[in-house]
Amino acid sequence: MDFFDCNCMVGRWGQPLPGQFHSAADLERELERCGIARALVFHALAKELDPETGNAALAEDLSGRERLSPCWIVMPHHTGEMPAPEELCDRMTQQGVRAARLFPQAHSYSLEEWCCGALLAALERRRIPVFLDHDQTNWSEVDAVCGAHPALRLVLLRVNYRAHRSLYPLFERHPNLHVEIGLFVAHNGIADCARRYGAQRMLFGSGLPHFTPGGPMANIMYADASDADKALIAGGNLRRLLGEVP
Amino acid sequence: MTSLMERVRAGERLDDLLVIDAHAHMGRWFNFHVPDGDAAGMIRTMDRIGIKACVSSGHAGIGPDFILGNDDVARGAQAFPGRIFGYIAVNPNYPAQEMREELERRWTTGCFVGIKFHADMHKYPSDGARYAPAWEFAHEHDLPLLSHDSVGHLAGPAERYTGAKVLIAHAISSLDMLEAAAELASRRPNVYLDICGSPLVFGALEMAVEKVGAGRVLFGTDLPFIDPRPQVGRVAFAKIAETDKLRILGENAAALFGLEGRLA
Repeated sequence: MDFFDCNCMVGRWGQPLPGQFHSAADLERELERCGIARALVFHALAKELDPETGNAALAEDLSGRERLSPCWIVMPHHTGEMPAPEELCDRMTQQGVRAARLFPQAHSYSLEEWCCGALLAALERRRIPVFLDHDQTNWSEVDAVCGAHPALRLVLLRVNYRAHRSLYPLFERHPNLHVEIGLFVAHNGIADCARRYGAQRMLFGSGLPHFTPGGPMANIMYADASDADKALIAGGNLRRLLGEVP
Repeated sequence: MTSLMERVRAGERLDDLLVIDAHAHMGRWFNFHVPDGDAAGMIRTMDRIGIKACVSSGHAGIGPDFILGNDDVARGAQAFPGRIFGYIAVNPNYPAQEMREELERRWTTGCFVGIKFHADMHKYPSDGARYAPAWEFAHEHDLPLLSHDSVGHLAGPAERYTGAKVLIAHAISSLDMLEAAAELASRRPNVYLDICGSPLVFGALEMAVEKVGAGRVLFGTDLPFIDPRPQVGRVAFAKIAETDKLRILGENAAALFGLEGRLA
C-alpha cells in the first residue's frame, strides 16, 4: 500500500511532549520506519508565529527531501501580511507548493465571504486543495464555504468519531468536501463512509509528530473496503488532488 | 519472523495471537451514530482484526439505565460465549440495595468478570461513599474494576480495597493523565493502565511501558463507541519490544480477568 500522509508538521512548536520530534530529518525517519512513502508538510512557525516566516522556513527545511511536499499556511491579505490572493497563488505555483492550509481560529479571522471570499475564490480557480482543521471551524461555516465555492477542494482535518450526523448531510450537499481520517475513528467509519459516499472522499493523515500514524494506517488496512478503495484513502486521493493543480 | 508492525501494516488478521479488548461497550448512544454497535456487529469487527474476546459494558449501563445495559451485555455474552464477557455496570445515583442486588445477580451468571464505573457520565466520584458496595464486592471477589474518572479519585480506593484490581480508563490519553496514573501504579500494585482513547498521542504508549512496565498496561478500545482498529495499530507501531506488545494486547488481560480456559 502506497501511503501519502496529508497531515504532518515540521519545526519547533510551543508545547512539545517528551519524545516528540520537530526536524524534517526526524520526520523522514519516522515515515520510513512506518512505511509511509510521502507526506504533505506545513511548518509550525507558520501556525504559531507568522505564515510568511513559517512558509519560508518550510522551503529551507524541505529542500532536497523528496519524500516531503510543502503545504503553505495562508490567510486573507487585507492587513498586508500576505500577498493578494492571485499573487499568493502565483508564488505558490512558482515555488512548487500545491496545497494550502487555514487556521482561522488561531489566526483570528473569519471564514465568511466578506473576509475570506477572495482568497477562497483564488484557491478554487487554481484548484489548490485547502486543508482546514475541524477545531478551527464549525459545520455551518463548512457548509457556507463549500456552498459559495463549489469547485474548492476542501479537506477537513481531524474530524472525530462524533461527526456522522453533520458530516453526512454535508457530504450529500458538497461533492468536493473531503475528510482526513486520522481521528475519524467511528466504528466501521471508513467502510460506512466509503459505501455511502465513495472512498474518494477520505484521505490518510497522521498528525505527526503529535500523533502516531499506526492508528490510521491500521484503520485503513483492516477496513471492510476493497483494496482499490484502501489505496485511494492511503494516498491515491491526495495524489489526485495535488495532481489537479495546474 | 514478520514483526507485528509489518503484519498490521499489511492488514493481516491476528488470529494466532491472544488479543483481548479490556475496555469495550455495546449498543447505540445518544450523542453520535454508532454503526453496527450490537453484539453481532462487534464480533464481525473483532473477527476482521483477530480480536479473540472483549470485556464489555453496555452503553445503557454507562448512561441512563445500568440494569438495561447489563441485560444487553448478558445477552451478548450468551450469544457469543467465550468471545464477549461483561463488566457489571453500576450507577451510584440509584439506591445502594439496587447496586448490591445487581452485583450479586450478574456475578452468579458467570458472564461477568469485572465491574464498571463511569464516574464522568454519572457525575459522581469513584471514591464517593455511594460506590462503596461495588468496591467492597470487587475487593471480596478479587475483581477488576474499570473506572472512567480522574486518577485522584482512584488513589484512595486502590489503597483501601487491595483485592480490587483498579483499571484506570483512558490512562494515556494525555501526558498529565499518564503521569498521574503511572505515579499511582508505582505506589499500588493493584493498579493498571488502560490505553483506550481516540487521540493516539505520539510516544505515550512507550512512556507508559517505560514508567510502569508492560505488565501493567492493557489493550482497550471502546468498541463500538470507537473503532478498535486504530488501537491495534498504535500497539503494533510502538517502539517497544515485541514481547511487550503481546502482553499488552492480551496476555495481561487473560490473567487479570481469569479468562484462560474460558475463551472460545
